[in-house]
Amino acid sequence: MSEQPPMAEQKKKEKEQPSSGGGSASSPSVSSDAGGEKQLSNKELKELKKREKAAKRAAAKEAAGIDPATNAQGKGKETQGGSGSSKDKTPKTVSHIKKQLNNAKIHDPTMKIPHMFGHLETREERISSTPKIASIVHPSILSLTLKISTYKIVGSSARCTAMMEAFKDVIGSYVTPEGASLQRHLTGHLSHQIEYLKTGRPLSISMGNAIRWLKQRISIIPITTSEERSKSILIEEINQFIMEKIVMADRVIVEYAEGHINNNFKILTYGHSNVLAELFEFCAVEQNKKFEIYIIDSKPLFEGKKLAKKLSKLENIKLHYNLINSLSSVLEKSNIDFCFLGAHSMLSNGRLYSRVGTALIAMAAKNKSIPVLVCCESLKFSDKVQLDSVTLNELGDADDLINTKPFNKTGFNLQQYMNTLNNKMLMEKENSSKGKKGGNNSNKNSKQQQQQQQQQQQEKSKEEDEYDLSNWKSYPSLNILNILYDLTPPEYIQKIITEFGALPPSSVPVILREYKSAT
Amino acid sequence: MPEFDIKQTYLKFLEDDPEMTMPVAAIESLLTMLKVKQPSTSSELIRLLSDATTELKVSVKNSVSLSAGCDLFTRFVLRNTHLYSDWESCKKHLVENGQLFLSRAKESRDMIAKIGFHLIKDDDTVLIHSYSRVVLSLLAYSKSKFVRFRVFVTEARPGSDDGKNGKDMVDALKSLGIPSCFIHDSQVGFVVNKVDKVFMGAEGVSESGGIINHVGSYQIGVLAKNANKPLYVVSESHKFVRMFPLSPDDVPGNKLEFTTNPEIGLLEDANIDFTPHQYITALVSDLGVLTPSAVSEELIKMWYD
Repeated sequence: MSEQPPMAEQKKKEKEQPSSGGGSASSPSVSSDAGGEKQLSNKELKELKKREKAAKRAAAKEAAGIDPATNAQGKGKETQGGSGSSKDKTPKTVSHIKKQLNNAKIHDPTMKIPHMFGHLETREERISSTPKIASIVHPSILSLTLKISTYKIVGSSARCTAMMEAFKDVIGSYVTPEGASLQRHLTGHLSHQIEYLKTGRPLSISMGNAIRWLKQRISIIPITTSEERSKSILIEEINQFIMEKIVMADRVIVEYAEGHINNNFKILTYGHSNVLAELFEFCAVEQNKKFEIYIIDSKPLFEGKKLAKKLSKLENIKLHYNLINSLSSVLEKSNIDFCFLGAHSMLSNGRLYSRVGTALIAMAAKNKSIPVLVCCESLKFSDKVQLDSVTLNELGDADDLINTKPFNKTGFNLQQYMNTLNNKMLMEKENSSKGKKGGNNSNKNSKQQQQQQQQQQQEKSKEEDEYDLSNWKSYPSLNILNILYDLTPPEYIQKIITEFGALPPSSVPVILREYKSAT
Repeated sequence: MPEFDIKQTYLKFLEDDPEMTMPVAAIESLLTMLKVKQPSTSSELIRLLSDATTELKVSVKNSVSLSAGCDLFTRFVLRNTHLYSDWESCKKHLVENGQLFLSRAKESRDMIAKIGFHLIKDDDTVLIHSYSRVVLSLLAYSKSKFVRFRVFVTEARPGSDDGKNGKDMVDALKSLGIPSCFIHDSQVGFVVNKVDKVFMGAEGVSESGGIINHVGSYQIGVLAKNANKPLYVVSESHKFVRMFPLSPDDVPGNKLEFTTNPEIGLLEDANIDFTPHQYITALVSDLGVLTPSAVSEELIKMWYD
C-alpha cells in the first residue's frame, strides 16, 4: 500500500494538465478558470466546517476499531504534504466519499462539448474527482482502471470479467479491521475500489449488475463464518458467477444462434463482440460450415479489426472488412442473409444500447429487410428505460477522433517524381559546390535554391495543416463530440438471443423478472 | 404382442376422435407408449421419450404443433421424475397427471370460447380463415349466447393434411344457423373493408407470438393490418411452441420447386405459413387474452419454473 501516494500525485498532475493546457490556449478562459477555483474554495470552506463536525461525531464511533482505510490514508497524507490538510480526517464512509467526489468535480468552461451533451461527464471531470481515495485502492484495481481507461480492456463482458477477477484479488488480500464484521465492512471497502474504477470509464450495465450481485452475496454470509472461510466462499462464488453468467451463457447462446448460420450464408456484423466471435468460430470449426462475414467497423476504436484478426485464422470463413462509411454499398451489392449484433445492454423497453453506429447498421439492414439478431447475455439486461441516446451515454476523449493519423499517402507517381526532383536538386547542389570557382553568381543561385526549398517545405507543412486539428481547442467555434454508445429502437430488431432462449424485443421485461427472481 | 408403433398410435388417435388436436394426440400416444413399454428406470424412460419424439417428428409431415405437445410432455416428465424417491409411485403419478393434462386440454377449448366470446359483438362481420375447431367452438358459443353476427370464410386452398379446409367450416357454421359467405382466398382484399375483425386458429404459436397456421394466414394478416382491422388468434396454450421463425421460409418442410415440366401443376406442397407477431392484435387462449409478447413470458415460465 505504500506505493500508492505517488500514484495519487500522478493523478493530480494529470488533473492539472488539461486545465493549464486550456488556459494557455486562450487568454479569456484563464480568468474564468481562476474564478471557478475561487468559488470552489469558498464552497470548500463551508464544507470543511460541516465535515469537521461530522468527523468529531464519527471519531467517537470509530474509537473502538481503527479503520485500515483511514490508517492508510493517514500515511498517504504524510507523504503528500499539507495538500489535503484537515479534510483527510473525515471518516471514509461511502456517502462521504461520494459527497467529496461531487464537490471536487470541476466544471471547466473551456471544455468544448455541445450543449446537448453537457450533462455527460468528461474524462477530465472523472479524473479530477479521484485522488482522495487513490491510496486505499488495491493495486489490481489500479491496473485494471488503467487498462480500461486506455481501452486495453474493452467490451462489456470483458470488462465485467476483468473486474470480477480483480475483486477476487481485493477480497483475497482483504483483512477485516478489529471491531468490524466482514459482512458490513467489505462492501464499503469494495465501494472505494469501485469509485476508483469509475474514474477509468463509467461502469457498464453488466458490471453494475455483477457488483449488485456481489454485495448481496457478501451481506448474506452468516455472521458466524470465519474470515478465511467467508473469503474463500466469496472467491468461489465469483468464479462460479463468471462461469455461469458469462462463459456458459455464451456457450448456450452460441448453441441457440448456430441454427441461423448455414453453408454459403452471408453474415453482417459490427465491431467486436465476444459472443459473436465465439459463435462464428463455433460454426466454422466445430460444425465445419463455410460462410462469409462482412465486418463493419468504425473510428475511433476499430474493434472490428480485433474480430477480423481472430477470424482470419479460420479457413471456412471468408472475411470482408469495411468501414461504416461504405455500409450502403456493402448492403447494395451483397446478398446478406442475417445481421448479427452484439450488445452493451438491453433496456427494458426493448431498446438496444450498444457501440455507436449499431443503430445505423440495424436501420440500414431493416431497410433491406435483413433480419437483425442480437446476441446478449441476461447479465446485460437492465431495467432502465431510455428513449434517446442523449440522456445517458458515455463521452470518449475528443482527441481520440483527432489524433488518428490523417490520410497522408502520396500517389506513387507523384512520389517518384518528387524523388527524381530531389535527386536532381542534390546533383545540382553537388555540382555547384564543386564549381565554387563561379563565386558570387553560383552562391546566389544556391541561396535561391535554399529559399525555394524552404518555401516548398512551408507549403508542405501548410498542406498538412489542413488536415491537422490537434489544436482544435483554440478554435472557439469548433466542438468535437466523441460519443461511445447509441440506442437502437426495437422496431429494427427481430430477435434477441439470450441464454434463456430467443425472444422478441418486447419480451425483455420477462427476462428481467425471471432473472431477478433467479438471483 | 405386436411391436408398438408410435406413429400408428398417433394417427389412430387422430382418426378416432375428430375433435382431438395434434399436440393432444401426440401426448396421448406418448402416454400410451409409457403404459405399454413400462420403463423400469428413469433413464430408460427419458430415452424412450426422446426416441419416440424424434420418430414422431420425423415421420409426420407437418410436425409443428405435434412437437409442441411432445416437448411439453417431456418437460413435464423431466420436472416431475426427481420429486419421487420411489420409482413405481413416480410412474403412477406420471400416468395420472398425463390423464389430467389431457382432460384439461380438452376442456380448454370451452374455456377459450367463454373467454373470447365478448370479442364478438352484435352486428359484427367476422372473417375467418380455413377450418379451425377452436374458432368454430368460439363462434358456436357466441351463437348460443344469441349474438348476431355474419361470417366470411375463406376456402384456404390447398387444404391441410387432414383434408379439412374452409368448406368444412362453412358447412358447420351454416348447420349452426350462422349466416356465412364462402369466399376464394383471392377475394380477401375485396371484402376486407366490410370486415370488423379477423379470427384464426393456429397450429403453433411461436415464441415471438407469431403463429404458424394454414397457408394464407400471412396474407390475410397483412391485409387486415393494412385495413386496421384487429386480428385475433384463437389457440390453446399447449400449442405454444419453443421455436422462433423469422419469416415464412424458416418454417420447416415447405419446399419450392421451379420447373419447365408442363405436367406439374399447382404447388400443393406448401400448406403452412408463418405470420409474424406484429400483425396479431391479441391471442385468445385458455390463459386469457394475451398480447403476442406475453407468449414468450408463458413459455419461459413453463420452461424455467
